[in-house]
Amino acid sequence: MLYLVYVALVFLIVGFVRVSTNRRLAGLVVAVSGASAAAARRFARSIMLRNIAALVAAGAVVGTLNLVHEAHSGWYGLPLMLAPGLAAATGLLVFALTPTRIVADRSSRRSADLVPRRPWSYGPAWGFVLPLVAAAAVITFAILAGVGSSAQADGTFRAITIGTSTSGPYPGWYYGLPLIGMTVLLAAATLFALGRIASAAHSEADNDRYTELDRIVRTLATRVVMQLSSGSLFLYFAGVLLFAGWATTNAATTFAPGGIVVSTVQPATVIGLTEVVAGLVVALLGGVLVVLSILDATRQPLGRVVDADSNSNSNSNSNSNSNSNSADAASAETA
Amino acid sequence: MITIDEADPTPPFEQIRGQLADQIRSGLLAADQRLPSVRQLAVDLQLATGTIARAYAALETAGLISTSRGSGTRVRADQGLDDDSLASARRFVQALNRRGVSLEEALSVVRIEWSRVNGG
Repeated sequence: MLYLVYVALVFLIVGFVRVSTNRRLAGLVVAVSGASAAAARRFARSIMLRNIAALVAAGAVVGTLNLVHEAHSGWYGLPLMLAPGLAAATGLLVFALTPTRIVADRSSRRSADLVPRRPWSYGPAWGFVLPLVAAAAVITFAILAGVGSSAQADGTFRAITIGTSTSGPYPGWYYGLPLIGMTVLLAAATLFALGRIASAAHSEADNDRYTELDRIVRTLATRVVMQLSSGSLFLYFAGVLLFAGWATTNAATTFAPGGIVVSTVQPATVIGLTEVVAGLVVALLGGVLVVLSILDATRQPLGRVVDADSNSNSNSNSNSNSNSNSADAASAETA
Repeated sequence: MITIDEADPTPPFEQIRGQLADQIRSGLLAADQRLPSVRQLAVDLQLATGTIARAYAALETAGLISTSRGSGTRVRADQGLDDDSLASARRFVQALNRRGVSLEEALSVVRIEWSRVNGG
């Protein structure tokens, strides 16, 4: 039931975000000449294939880790906990290592912009600060939870002891150390992907015509990378918070037979409940970001190429951000 | 924006150096403006990184740009011509344009006059 409510809330928020950002997304419209439409279509297809390959690779990692989890119950769910981060890192690496570029007729005259392209050139500042803050929060929490954890009978630090009561699974060092490594790996994969987006070659041949298209494709790719990395960070941070919260609350509560609460230890109970609530909120945020990244990644960046006449009509009906100004232009729309 | 032309007999390194020098002296590239990395220019222009690095090194030797590990390659201050000189050049070009003089002819005249004024 809780899962269904979670899914419904995620899609409700995703719908709200998509409606509220529709105008901005509609601004990602580019005009190319009719003669360039074929090259633009080829480029769009290559972008779609790259994005789908990244999603398939991420999905394969989740599936594999699920099988590993089922085969090794003695690992206490560690593969599942690492699944979001490893899947995202794999998807980002496939995304980054797949070359995409508009290739039209090779010209003997080639131009280059003199504005440096940096990994953070194609997104808002908050989009880069958000995953940094999330990564710092994950590492800080993992260290704090590790310090507060206690060893189980097998010597692994995956429980919490309050007074004489011990409860688990708790994100102690057993989960925390791989989690910290995972966060560093994901941060590195994200930086690598952003660097590749920025440093990839500018579209070949007719630079004037393709400059805007080039910028839009880089902007969309940056959105996908930031949403995916932030979303997966939030998802496994949520898992950690929820397990920590439940374990802490259980360890701080004394139950009578029949599940009746006899007494609670404060402030441990409040801390545990706070972790549970924070975990639910963070899980919602992570789910929303991952769904948004999948929607952006599977959207055809040049989904529609229309003739010059209908292009001018559609542009007059849409917002003024469209930079269609060529009389014989065909427009390739991202929305 | 800079453009290289494979059909031009001038070597690509010299084309890049010349265009960047022109843009710095004319003020199109402002003081302290950061230039793209060697790698970015190389992939965009489909040239070897060594070609771009050679052009940057020549510009650095000429005192037009400076390169440091932390802040990358930047245009050095006070390398552009003063406003009066730029305005004179603009008036000169506009006047010759009105008379239908080509760039090549204009440059020939400038070279001759330059030699004459400097006693060459």
